[in-house]
Amino acid sequence: MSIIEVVGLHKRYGDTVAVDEVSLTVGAGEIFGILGPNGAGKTTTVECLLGLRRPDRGQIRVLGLDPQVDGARLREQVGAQLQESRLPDGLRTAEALELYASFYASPADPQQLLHDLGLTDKARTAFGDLSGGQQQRLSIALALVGDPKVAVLDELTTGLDPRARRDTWQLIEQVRASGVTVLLVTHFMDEAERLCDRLAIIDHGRVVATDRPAALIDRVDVGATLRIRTAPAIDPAALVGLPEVDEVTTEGEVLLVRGQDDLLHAVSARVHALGAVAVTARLGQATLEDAFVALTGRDEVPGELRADEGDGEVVA
Amino acid sequence: MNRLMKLTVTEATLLRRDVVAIVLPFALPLALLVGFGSAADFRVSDPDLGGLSAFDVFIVPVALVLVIALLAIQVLPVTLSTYRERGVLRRLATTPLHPSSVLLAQLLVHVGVLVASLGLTAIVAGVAFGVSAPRQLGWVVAVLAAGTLALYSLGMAIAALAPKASTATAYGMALFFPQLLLGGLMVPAELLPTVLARTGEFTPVGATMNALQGAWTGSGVEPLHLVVLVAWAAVTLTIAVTRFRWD
Repeated sequence: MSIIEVVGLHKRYGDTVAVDEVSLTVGAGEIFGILGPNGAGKTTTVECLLGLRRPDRGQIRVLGLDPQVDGARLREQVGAQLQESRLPDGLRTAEALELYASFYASPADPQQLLHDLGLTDKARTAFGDLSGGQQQRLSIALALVGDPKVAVLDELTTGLDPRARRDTWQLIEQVRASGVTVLLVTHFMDEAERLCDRLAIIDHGRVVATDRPAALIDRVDVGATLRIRTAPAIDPAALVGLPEVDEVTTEGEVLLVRGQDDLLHAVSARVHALGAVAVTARLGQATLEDAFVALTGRDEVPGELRADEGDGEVVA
Repeated sequence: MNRLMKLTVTEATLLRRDVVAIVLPFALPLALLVGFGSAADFRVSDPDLGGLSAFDVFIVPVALVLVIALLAIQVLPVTLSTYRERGVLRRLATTPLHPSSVLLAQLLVHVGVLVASLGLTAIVAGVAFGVSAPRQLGWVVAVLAAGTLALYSLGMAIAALAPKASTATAYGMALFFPQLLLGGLMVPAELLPTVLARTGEFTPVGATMNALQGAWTGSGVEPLHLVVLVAWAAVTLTIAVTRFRWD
């Protein structure tokens, strides 16, 4: 059963087309991602879903309701945390949750939410005194306080440090485990790859592909990349003749070998046959970044889509 | 109704925590009363003023009008623009509640603060400084209500037109101080050059001040001043309603 259905959504502001032609379907219990660079039309799409903006064209059904007709009823059942929506600095955590709980006909228990989101000991802390991660957690709590069937989370981890981002990811998985369908808007590749069951890649207001992250990557036939350094160094030409190898380039002492799936086996056999040993070898596989580049036809991944953490070695 | 009450209580709590915003509306008029009331010269009954003192006809109305202007065009628009700038209104728009509820809650809180502040000023003036009751009490209340309506409409127009909180502060300042001068709140209107005093009568603050003095002393409220207030309310309220954005 589909929870969200969008067909042919189109929205322009003046001369600027924000959303050109967006169609997507989100099933019950999914974490569905909308991935795209800044200005791709992600937020406008979400605002149309919530009934905050009127689409120029297209059909939207959320939980079977038309946001333009049944906005208030829809917002009873859809919790949202929108980009750059903060609270008054003086408002305390528990006050905010109790206030927002009072807006809904059958809200969740604010105390329980405080506990679930690890905010119990911050209950009396003013919003302005919370850390960025705590503010984000409160923001998620507010999106859940109406006990929604769908949670829309827009740019949840922007500006958070790597530790807080991982904590937030875990939280989203918990939310889904409790039976809530999650629509996750993000411009982070790693976030989308890690969290989403399915993903729509949006660029210039259009959906360029929708699939599971792994399937999107599989669609891109970039083969494999092997970075290898040998002792003694071997002549790159010795590898070019292998059927599995498409291309060999050098980066100092390192050979960068592009080719097909059995690359590692073929190359290491040849290295061995030449009487050399591999000192370092690293096999790279296609990532969502490769898929993004291939699917959008861009030259490279826009800078803001890369993870904003220093390196990928921190493991929780 | 329950939701609006909860929101109103929350807004009141937030205002109470904002020391500057909550202390000024009470401290300012009381400081005026105590400061000028302690100076004997100001409290001498003057036959030119129909037996009233300068304190009665000038300081007390100033204390009342000042508070309305301060809350309406300095405090309210900045609060609303800040809410918009920070996305508080946007956040509310994602709930079943319409963000206009927060405007309504703000207005209820302001009415409460206004009634408390104006009441306190009137009581202190009467009890501590022997200011006689207004000669036309009904008109005093009506004028205060009309002035409040005009100034709050102006405040909401500021909130509607200012893109950011800092702009709202600047607009508020630019509309506040000249009106105090022209309206005869800094210097009595009689001492202003005629053209300035006459101009002042066409501002919401000046019209309220003039009409309030007339009602208090019994010399009567000039229809012009009521027309000015209604006109300002109509124009600025129209601007506010048509131009206000929730995000």
